[in-house]
This record gives sequence, C-alpha cells and structure tokens, in this order.
Amino acid sequence: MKKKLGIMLALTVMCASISACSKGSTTETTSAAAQTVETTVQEAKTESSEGSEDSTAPAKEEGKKILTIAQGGDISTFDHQNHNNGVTGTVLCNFSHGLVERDDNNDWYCVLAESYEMIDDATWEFKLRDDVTWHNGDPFTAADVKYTYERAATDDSLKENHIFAVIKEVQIVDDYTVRFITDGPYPTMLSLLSKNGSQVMPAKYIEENGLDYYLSNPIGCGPYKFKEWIKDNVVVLERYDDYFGGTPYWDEVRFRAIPEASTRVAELLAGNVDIIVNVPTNEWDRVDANDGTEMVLGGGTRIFNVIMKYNTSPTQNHDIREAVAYALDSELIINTVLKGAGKSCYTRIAPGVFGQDESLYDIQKFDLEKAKALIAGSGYNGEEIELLVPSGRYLMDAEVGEVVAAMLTQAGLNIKLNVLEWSAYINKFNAGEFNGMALIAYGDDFFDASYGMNEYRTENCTPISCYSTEEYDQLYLDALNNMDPDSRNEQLVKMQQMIFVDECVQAPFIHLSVPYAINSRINFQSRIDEQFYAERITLK
Amino acid sequence: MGRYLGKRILQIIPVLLILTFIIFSLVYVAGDPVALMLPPEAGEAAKASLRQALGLDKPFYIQFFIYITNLLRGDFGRSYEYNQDALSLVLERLPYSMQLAATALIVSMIAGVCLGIASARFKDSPFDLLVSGFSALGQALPSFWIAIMLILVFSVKLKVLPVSGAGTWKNLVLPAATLTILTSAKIVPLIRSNMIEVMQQDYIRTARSKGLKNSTIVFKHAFKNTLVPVVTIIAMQIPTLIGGALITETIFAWPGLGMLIYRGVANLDMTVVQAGVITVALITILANLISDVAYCLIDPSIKY
Repeated sequence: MKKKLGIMLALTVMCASISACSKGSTTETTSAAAQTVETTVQEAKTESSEGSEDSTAPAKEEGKKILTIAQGGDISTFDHQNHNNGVTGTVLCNFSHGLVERDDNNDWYCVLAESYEMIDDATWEFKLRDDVTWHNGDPFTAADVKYTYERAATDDSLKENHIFAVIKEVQIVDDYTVRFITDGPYPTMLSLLSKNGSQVMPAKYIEENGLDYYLSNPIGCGPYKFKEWIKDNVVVLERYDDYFGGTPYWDEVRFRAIPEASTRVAELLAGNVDIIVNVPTNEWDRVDANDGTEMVLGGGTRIFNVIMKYNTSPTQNHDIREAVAYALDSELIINTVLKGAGKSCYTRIAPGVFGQDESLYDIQKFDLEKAKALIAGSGYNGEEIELLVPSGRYLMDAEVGEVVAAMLTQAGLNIKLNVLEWSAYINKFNAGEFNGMALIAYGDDFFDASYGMNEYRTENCTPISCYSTEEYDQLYLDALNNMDPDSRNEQLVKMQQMIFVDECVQAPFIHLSVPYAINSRINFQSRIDEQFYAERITLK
Repeated sequence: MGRYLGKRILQIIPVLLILTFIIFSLVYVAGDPVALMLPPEAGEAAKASLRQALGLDKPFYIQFFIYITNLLRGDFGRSYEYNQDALSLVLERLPYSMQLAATALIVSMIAGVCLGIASARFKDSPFDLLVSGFSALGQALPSFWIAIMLILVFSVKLKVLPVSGAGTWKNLVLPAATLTILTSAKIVPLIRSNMIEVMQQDYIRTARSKGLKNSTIVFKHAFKNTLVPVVTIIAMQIPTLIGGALITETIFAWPGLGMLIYRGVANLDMTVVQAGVITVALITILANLISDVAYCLIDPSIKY
C-alpha cells in the first residue's frame, strides 16, 4: 500500500507541476504584467498603497508618471477599422491618430493632416505632415492613408466598412498629399475621418509582416506605443519619445479591464486607478465621501428612447404613440433613479451633434392627463403591450425601464415588462421579436444627425418600424448631399420635427450624462465622445 | 487496466463530437452575432453584408459542416471579437485558470482534510460545531459576497493585497481564498462523515484492541479508507474551478477561461465558446480518468 500511496503522491505532484509548468511557461509574458497590475499605484499614492505592492516593484517604478484607467471591458483588437466599441476606441486613440480629430469642445483640428481643402463636392484634398513617424521609425506617408481608408471602404468583413464604404478611392498626389474621392457630394467627410475607428494603419509594416503579426505587435503613430496586452486584464502603452507632438506627458498609460463595477470602485478607493467608468448611482456617495476621489458627470450622446412598433397594433395608432410621449415624466426619472445624470429632451439627437433641433432639448413633454385622454380616445382595448428593456448596458437601464413601465401603466396602457441581458435583448430587438415597445439608448460617434436619422428611411425598414414617406426620403437624400451647412442644418431639424413631433415614431426622453469617478490628483475634462486622450489628462 | 484506459481514451472522440454539435446548435439558436458586432443604428444592408462576409448567411448544416471539417484539421476558427485564432485565445487563458484552480484545490484539500479529520476526531465538541458551522456557511454564502467582503477588508481597509488583476502571487490570494472557502466547505463535511463512519468499523476496533497509537489508527488505517469519495469530489471540482469560476474571475478581473467563455457567450463569439468548452470537456474527461486510476490505487477491491 505504501507503494501505491507513493504513486498517488507522485500523481498529485505531477498535477501540481503541470500547473506550475503552465505558470512557468507564461512567466516571461506575465512577469511584466505582474508589475503592471501590481504597480498601478502611481507615484503620488505610493506610500498609501505600499502594503499592497510587491516589494521589488515600487522601486523599479519610482518616479514614473503612470496614468491608469479602468474600464468595464477589454479592447477587442488593434485593428482600428475592425471594432465597434468605445472601450477599444479609448485605448487606440492614444496609440495612433487620424488625419483630423476633435478637441475637448468637439471642434475639428488637424492632426496628421496639415491642412485640408474641398476641391469639389466629391473630392477632398489633405496635405499631410512630413514629420510623423510610426513607432518602428518608418515615416508616415500618403501610402498609409490610401491603405487604411481603401481597406476600410472595400473589405466588407470589417466592422467599420458600412460607414467607410462611401469612399470610392484615395488618390496619392505625392508622398504627403492625398485626395479622397467619394461616390457623390459628401458633406460629412470630416465627421467620418475624425470618428472613433478612423485612425491610420501602417501600410508598409502590415504588407511586409502580415496583419496577424501587426495584431500581436501593433505599431501606431500616436504619443504612446504598445508595451503589452494581457487579454481581459490590462493594456499597457508607453511613451513614444519620437512623437511628432513633443514628449508625451505620461511615462505609461494603463487600461485595465475590470468588469465588476464594485471592484472598479474598490480599486479607485484603494488608490490603484485614476479614472473609472460606468459608476452606478448607488456608489456615487461612497466615492465622494472618500478622501481623494470624486465623481465627475460628463456629457455623452446617448439618449433613452422608447421604440414603438410603427406598423403593428396597438402602437401603429398615432394617439397611442403620442400618449407614450406625454406619459413619460423624464424629470422625475432624472431626479430620482438617475440622481441628476440627464436632461429631458424630445429628440434622439444630442447636443454637440450637427443638426440637432435645439427646440426639442431641455424640455419634457410630460402631461399625464393628456396621455390618459389620448389613450381613452384611441380605441385601445387594454391588450397587453410588451416593454423590452436591456439590463447592464446603460446607466440604470433596468431601473429606468421599470419606472417607464409604471408610468405607461398609470397612463392607461397594459404593460408587460421584459428585462433581458444585453446579448439576448439586442437579438430580440433586431429581429423585432417583441410585442409593442423597447427601451434603448442610441449614441452617435459620427456627430452628425444624418447618422441617427438614417433609420427612418424607406430603405432601412425593419421588422420594428417602417416609416416610409417619399417626403422624408427625399429630405434625407437632400441633406445627405447638401454641401451648404446652414440649409443642411434646417433639413436635419425638419426631419426631427417630422419624426418625433408630428408622427411620434419614437419617444426619446432623456439625454444621459456619463458618470466617471476620478482620483483627485488628476485634471480631467470629460469629452462628449467618452474617449480618454491621455495627453489631455494631467497631474494637479 | 491498460485496455480500460485505451477504451476510455477512445470514448473521448464521440463525446467531443456530440458536445461540439450541441454547443454549435445552442450558440446558433442563441442569436445573430452580427447584431452584436454592429451598433443598433447600423442599417440592415450593412448587417447583411457583414453576415455574408463571415459566412453566417449560410444554412445551419453547411456552417456546421465547414466548422467540423476545419476542426478535424485542428483549426478552431477565428474569433469574431478578437479576429484571432480561437484556440490560441483559450490557451492564453488556461495558465491563469490552472494557477487559480490548482492553488484553490491544494489549499482546499489540505484545509478540508485537516479540519474534516479533526472534526470527526472531536465529534460533537465546540470545535466540531465551529467547523460544521463554517462548512454550512461556506456552502450557503454566495461567492460574490465572499469576494466583495475579502476585497473590502484586505484591499480597501487594510491595503495589504491588491483589489483585482493578475500576475503576482499577491493577486492570486483573494480569488484563491474565495474559491478555497467554497471548495473546502464541500470537502470538510464529506471527510468528517466518512471518518466517523470508518472509525466505527470492526478493523478500527481491532486496531485499538491491539493497543496502536491513536494517530496511527487515524492516519494509517482510517484516513486512506475515506479517500474514495474525496477523490470523486476533487475530480468534480477541477473542471468547475478551471472553466466555471466565472463569478470569482469577474469580480477579481482575473483573466481566466471562465471569463473568456462568458464573454464569448455574451458576444455570440461561437468559435471561442467552442474552443473553450472543448478544452474544459477535455480537462473534465482527463480528471475523471485520473480519478478512476486513483480509485484502483486507493482501494484494491476496485478493478476494471
């Protein structure tokens, strides 16, 4: 038996060594990560968090300026044109640049471009900077621009293809001049080239090494170069000394993926991170009460919207749709559930987005008696109406959904609330598999109302809604091709009046603010696009 | 034994094939991955175009045929989310999961065996009541509560351990402690009840009558006979700890396999889910196989 127990012991040791081997095999790749995660404590906080650090790490990191941002998820890729999420965009905007970008006030300014000019309605010419280098030292040239945008426009497996497909060709005039040719007049070229996911890719590097190599060893031309990425854990970018804009402010910028909101808050309170996102309202007081941390409410473009099935009973009835708009006491929701993180509105186009109808902003349509009267006069027979609501996607979404359901019930509708996790929700939503209504919060990183108002065109009819009028379709096409900003603005405003006031196709009601919690040692100004440009965040 | 092992290894092939079909079907009916790849505002034409580019417009049986053909060549496909080989994504996470699972399991085994034996030895004493209370509480408390309490005490208040992340042994302490509390709470009562039962057997009485020392009776004669159910529960815990420690991994932002599979399910990233589940299935089969061998070694009356 001793022998057998010996064999058992050997088996146990073998199992343990398997795990030890696997641990060992990753030592090289994870040891730096170990420091990364462990020494997230910044110099200003070294003393207070000393106990939580590996004894060797702080010495190595002493004097380094490190910015740490904790987001709810990890990035998905370093392929700028093949992602569709803000988390990835937040990291990549520090790693590479677009030709033009938006500043903190959402105005355009040239970055890789020196200047731009509209040659004719379908041709834009950009003069490029000649002092930009990629992180491997190669010069940035017109070939990179051509490669990036023609790939985005033609490869339909890319997640940004649908928005870049308008580019017909990118012509190289010389090494530092390019011309973008579009299918027709295209007034929103600058919006396109400055949106999340429009940063350039290194053509020569990818052509020589392949895309897969680039994805594991990415290079950009931004202030911070790639150091390491431990998936679902941390992305570390480090200062690029030859950055064309001068020496970058931080030595390192770390983007940590922390899915659980309470863990993000604990990391902030422990002094291990500088900024956390998506802070639920129940944590705000704790953050503000803690010495050295504070809440910041920023702007964004997301607007809560009750989507109603336009062509199906009972919401095909105009009076019912209008009653829904009147039934929503948005101020009450903002002041209670959202703790002030929002503004009442009656358009899905947020401030800062070109073409917003300002007359529909900062007002609420709430009038319960009118809602009741409209329902009473509509012939509604009390049939059940489903309200599909996502959970965990937007700030307090499920709670807002519950209150909306109660308000609609109070107005006289028979509401059945159906709260679902996001992936289940969005599949049901897209397939139109709900009976009546859904709550969603649309955003807009294109910053032009034509992006959001596209949905109501006949060619974009879905199982949810088919608002199909020749007048609207024509108005949209006119705005899409109109190169005169003033009359274009009028056209976009008119579209919002048609959709939200006259026809009540949907009932947008709250423009959401974006809650951040920050370490008080930094100067931080939130941006409407919800991105973090490390160069614009400094120590106090 | 050799023949038995050969047979068990051959059984892995049909098990994996059936599992692949089930997982593929479940993910297929769960919804359209393109709906999650593009924003809700993207038009129908854009979605259709991306669906076609990814081959998701093809009928179910063709998609499955393509998938299984590639799988037989060792190609698990590319992740829709990461645009990288799905298997390499799984293999990147496996060391983290193994590290967490091995630590939790070894500590749980040591704690479980020590507390279980001591509890049985001092049956009905205040110590026994305390240990029984601990195991009842450990099984009743949800893992997220234990995790958050550990963070509040050791990271936020005492500042002796990091809140979350991975990389050093300090990062490992809190998630491993959470899993250890949960796992040892299952092992302790099992060892205790088996030990009490064994201690009442005739051969133990004989040993006592021979005047053997109490420690010799407990460790040499009684303990090895309590091991069969313990091996069973450990074999069951291995896949749970490697692939299913989702809540613990999420709270501590530990980049393990559970989190990858969860993210794959949430994004309907079929290739990642498949590769992850197949890996966990293989680990489960292997753990069961090792436990079968261990049974033979512990109890000579068990033969295959």
